[in-house]
Amino acid sequence: MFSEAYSAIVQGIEGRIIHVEADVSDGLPCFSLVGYLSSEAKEARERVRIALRNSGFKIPPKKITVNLSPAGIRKDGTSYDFAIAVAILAAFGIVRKDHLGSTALIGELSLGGKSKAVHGVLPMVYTAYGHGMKYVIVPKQNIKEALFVKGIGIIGAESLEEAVTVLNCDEPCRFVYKGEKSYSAPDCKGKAPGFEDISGQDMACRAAEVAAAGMHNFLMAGAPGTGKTMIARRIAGIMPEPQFSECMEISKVYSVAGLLTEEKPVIQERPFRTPHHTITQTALAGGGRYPKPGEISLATGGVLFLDELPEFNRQVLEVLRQPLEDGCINVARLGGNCCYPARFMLVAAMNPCRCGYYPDRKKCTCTPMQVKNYLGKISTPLLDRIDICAETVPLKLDEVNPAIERKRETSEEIRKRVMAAHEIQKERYKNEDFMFNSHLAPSGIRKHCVLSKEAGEYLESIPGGMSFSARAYHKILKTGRTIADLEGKGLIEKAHIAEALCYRNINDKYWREGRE
Amino acid sequence: MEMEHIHYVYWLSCVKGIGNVKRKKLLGFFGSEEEIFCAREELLAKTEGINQKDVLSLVSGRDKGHILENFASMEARGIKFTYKGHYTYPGRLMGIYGAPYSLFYKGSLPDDNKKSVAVVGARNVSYKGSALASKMGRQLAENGIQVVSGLARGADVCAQKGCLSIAGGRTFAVMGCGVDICYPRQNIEEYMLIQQSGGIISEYPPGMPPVAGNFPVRNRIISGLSDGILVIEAGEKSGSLITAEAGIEQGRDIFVFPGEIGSKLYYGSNELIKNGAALVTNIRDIMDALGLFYDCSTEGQKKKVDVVLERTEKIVYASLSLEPAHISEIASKTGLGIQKVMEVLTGLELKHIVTMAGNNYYALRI
Repeated sequence: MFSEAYSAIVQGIEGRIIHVEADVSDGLPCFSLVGYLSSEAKEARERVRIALRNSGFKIPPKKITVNLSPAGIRKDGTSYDFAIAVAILAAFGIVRKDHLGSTALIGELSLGGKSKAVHGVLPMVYTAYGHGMKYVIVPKQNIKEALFVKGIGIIGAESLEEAVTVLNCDEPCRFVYKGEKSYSAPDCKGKAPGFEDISGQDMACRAAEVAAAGMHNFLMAGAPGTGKTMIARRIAGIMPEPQFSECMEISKVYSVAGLLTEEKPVIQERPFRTPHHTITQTALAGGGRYPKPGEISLATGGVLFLDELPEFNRQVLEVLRQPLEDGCINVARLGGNCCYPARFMLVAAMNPCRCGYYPDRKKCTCTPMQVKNYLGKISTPLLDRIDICAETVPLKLDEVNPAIERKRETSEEIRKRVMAAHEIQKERYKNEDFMFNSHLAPSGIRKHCVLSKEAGEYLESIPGGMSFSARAYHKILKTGRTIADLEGKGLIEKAHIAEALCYRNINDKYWREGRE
Repeated sequence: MEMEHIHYVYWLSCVKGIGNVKRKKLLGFFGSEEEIFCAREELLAKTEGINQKDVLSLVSGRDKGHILENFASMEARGIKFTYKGHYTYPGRLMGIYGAPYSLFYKGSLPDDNKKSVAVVGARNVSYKGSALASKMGRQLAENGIQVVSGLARGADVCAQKGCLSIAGGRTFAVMGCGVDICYPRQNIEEYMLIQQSGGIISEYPPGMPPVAGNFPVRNRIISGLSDGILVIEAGEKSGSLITAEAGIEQGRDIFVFPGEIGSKLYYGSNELIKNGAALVTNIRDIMDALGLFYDCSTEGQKKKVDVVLERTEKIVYASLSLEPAHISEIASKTGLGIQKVMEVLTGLELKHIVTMAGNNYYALRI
């Protein structure tokens, strides 16, 4: 007897439907499993055999062959156990075949026949939905994650027996999970730290606002303990809330990486990833023998914060170059070739020198050579991709004194302006394949960064006073565009250009001195 | 071509391993360079302080044709040679203790008939120090005074840059390596410019690498070539103090810019003042001490003006000093919004009266 059930696997962050075919025939009793399987998938044979027995099914001694098709794709993971078991039961006539064609089965089995959670449920369920499946059976532990996909009946099964019951009844829809319609994140806005906590650093805070408004990459330099990390942690909080499609993308990545838990089955806020500076290339970019998303993909839609930038291995930092341009990363490995999203905003923090006090010569104990070496650790191509640079300044005592009242904008107020700027950009770039000012190409700059007459004259008068390259010029225009958007102005005005000039980094003295 | 006296001196200057001390002993023993050149090996070996290795290097370089060829090729590369007793040898060096035996130079030597001032200071210089150094370099040049320094990073090169920015400004760099080597490399631009109006000077033969031990020694030449020594910013163990000390021994005037009490950067400067150096605050003090007439009418009046400032610009300008201040600090000091301050500062920077001393740090331009 032959039967067929459906399961799914994950490739990159996308799912793919797998046909699980089972055949039972006369012959020497055996159980063989084929279809380009990884070792954990091969072990399904033992798990399924014993789980079937322990679930109370009597399997007659026959020759059982199971094929996972398409057989040309390598199959990792343990999410097919359910489908294999059900396909075998269907081949023996224990499970009805009526619903098998419209149901995807996802889940791992324990030897006792219970279901176990698997990674990547979200993209798999999404794919099943895309294939027009009516139902998907997932382990109970994964149900909240699966519920994020609407339009498909989600059935949570605690054991193989339950799954069989569902498939053998006439109306599986009565088993469809009807608890809370969709998972909604507990409202954590009250808890998240806001900009109101930061003392002083007006300039860096403003720079953070501009950076978030145009998704510009942002570098903070400054002495230790001046609040660089505090500011970075608050940036995700002033970005607009992610839309459904963004949440989906972010959650898919987390699902594949196995970072979704039962308590937090989907990601509904912008991620903030802060890898330690000992991170390897693979961990940052993604990879492994069987590719897994790296930190840059986990930060997609949010902020990738690299604290102590010069302490990162140089080769690790260079990995960022291509994803910063393309918004995705291709990971090619023996076990497969995946494209992970990597649309993140890079926020970096660094000390200006080893002791941290340069350019304050009274405190800095570094020689010019040491300063140069420290700054030189960051390559020019990477710096070129950073539009906004701000220096944090050591605080004076009265700025941190809690006794003195200071009025400071809350993150919510800043977010309103940032959201307005995002809206303007969305409207402006609706016919383009990018969304933010930071992604403007030179041709786009000519089209979209229109200067007022006064600003044009102002910018023309500059090269005598400050020398900068064409690339730096573009950066200033892009940043100026964002500042104008924050104010809702159509033309970039003189004041916007002047402010943008303050955020330049690469070609000012500080860096030049360090790089000579 | 026959060997002349200058070639013998050149030969002795270039022998490896023979420094000032050994050279003095050899000359004391043999009387002249020619004698040393012709001396037998045994006799050389008998000289006090000369070891077998030195004898070998003395003897092995005795090929006349080779020496003449080297000398000619050196001159062809624009490197000139002078020695104590030669008519081109700087008069100021004649009288000093430990005067260099010979000098290699590119360009020219300081004019004995014009005043010259050495400007020295820390390599690890603050913005204030570098601004002062370059201003003094400029003003000295404007008043026809030659600037001597060491082309080191920091104060030295700032002063020389300042001097070069004035048409006709003459500046001289005394190196701790051969004159054909630019050290530190980053000052190559100044190294090339200095040769055109002034000169690159060294007591070491061309090709001598910048060995750390050479630098304190060359400081006596910097002070020796000058009438006065201006110390910009000297820390506790600054090399500028060595120059100042050498200057005192040579009877030169020492001028010092005072610094804040307790400031690490000015520890050495303040010590010098305590010990009797002249405290100066502007070019006029220096010129008075050198016995020069300072013409007030030429005083940088032209610079002060034609800049018209708006009200906010005046407020921001007034809050600035030579100590670089961060934008956030300026904003809190002036009470203007951060965006306004950024706008105004950029405007002032374009008017050339304010400069970005570090990232987001601004200071006055002088």
